[in-house]
Amino acid sequence: MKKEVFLAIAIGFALGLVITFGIWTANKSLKNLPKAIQPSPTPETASASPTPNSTSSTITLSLTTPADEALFTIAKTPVSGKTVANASVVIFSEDNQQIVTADAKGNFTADVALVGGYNTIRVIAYDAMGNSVEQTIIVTFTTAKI
Amino acid sequence: MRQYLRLFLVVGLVIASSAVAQTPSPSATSAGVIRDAVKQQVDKELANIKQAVAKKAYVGTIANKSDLTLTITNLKNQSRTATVTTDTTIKLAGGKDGTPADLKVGDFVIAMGDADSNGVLTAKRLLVVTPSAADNRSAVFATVTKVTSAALTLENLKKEAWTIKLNSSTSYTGTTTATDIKVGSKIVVAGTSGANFTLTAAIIQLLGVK
Repeated sequence: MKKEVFLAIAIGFALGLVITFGIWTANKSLKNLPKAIQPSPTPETASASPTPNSTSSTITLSLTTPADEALFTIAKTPVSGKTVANASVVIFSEDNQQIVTADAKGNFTADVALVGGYNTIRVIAYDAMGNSVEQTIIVTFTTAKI
Repeated sequence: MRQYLRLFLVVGLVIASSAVAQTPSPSATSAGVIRDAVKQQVDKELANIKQAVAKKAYVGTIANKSDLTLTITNLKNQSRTATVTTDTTIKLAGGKDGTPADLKVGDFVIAMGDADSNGVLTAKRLLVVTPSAADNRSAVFATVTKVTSAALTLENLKKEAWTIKLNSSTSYTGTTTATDIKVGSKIVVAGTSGANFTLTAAIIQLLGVK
């Protein structure tokens, strides 16, 4: 009787190990699956071609909005982008200039008023050392229906 | 015998279920990754569609004109193609209505319309305008070496000495006031540039102050 009980426990233990091994193998395979379908990171693209004016190659600047050659029917647009952390960002619009500070991730944004016709928006970013990089985009504002 | 069979099945299932309980289910992670991948792909496709037919404006000089196709050299010296049709509203200098025949090589224009995925713009409105005057504003990042009520003297990274003229229109970012600017302060100044490293300050940012 005792012998049979031990045998049953041993068989049950073995069965449990087999199932556990199966689950472990399945998990391992599934862990590898996401790597195959994970999207590759896409680099942030600047909508404007950069016009570097930098004394160092360490500072970067990419503008996310607005797109170069964009057409607007409202007289305001956010200017946003990414540069180095805590950079000072100078934004020249047609009839104004402002200075904003990028956040700890380098992101910045500021609202810019547009004038009728084409608008040159010039953005200069400075890092803590004074190294700079500059980009310019041209956008157009019209009230006409296009 | 049936009793023993039941016993080893129970033991086996207990071990297997404890293994299942301890192993983090990958399905949630996988679902999240798949959802993100699908979302990213949808966003990408939407961006492509938007890009495919986007309202744009090309600003520059007509470098070439062939029938109803214009080659425009934009302000960044890039070449752009725009087509005009008889439906295109054309405004000549002074606001006069024009036709495609009135457009000449050398005209400075703003062509507005729909750009296709190749960047060819079908102009719905085209204005012949006068180019804006050159922007003489600039910005300086530098350390203050001298302070007076009317001006600041700065030295930048290139060791250039700048004179920053202050006036009643000069503004400061955040809570900064003119009295906060001291010798040794690092500042960013934007304003109108003059000759010999002079700048009339429109706005000043004192670094290290929020």
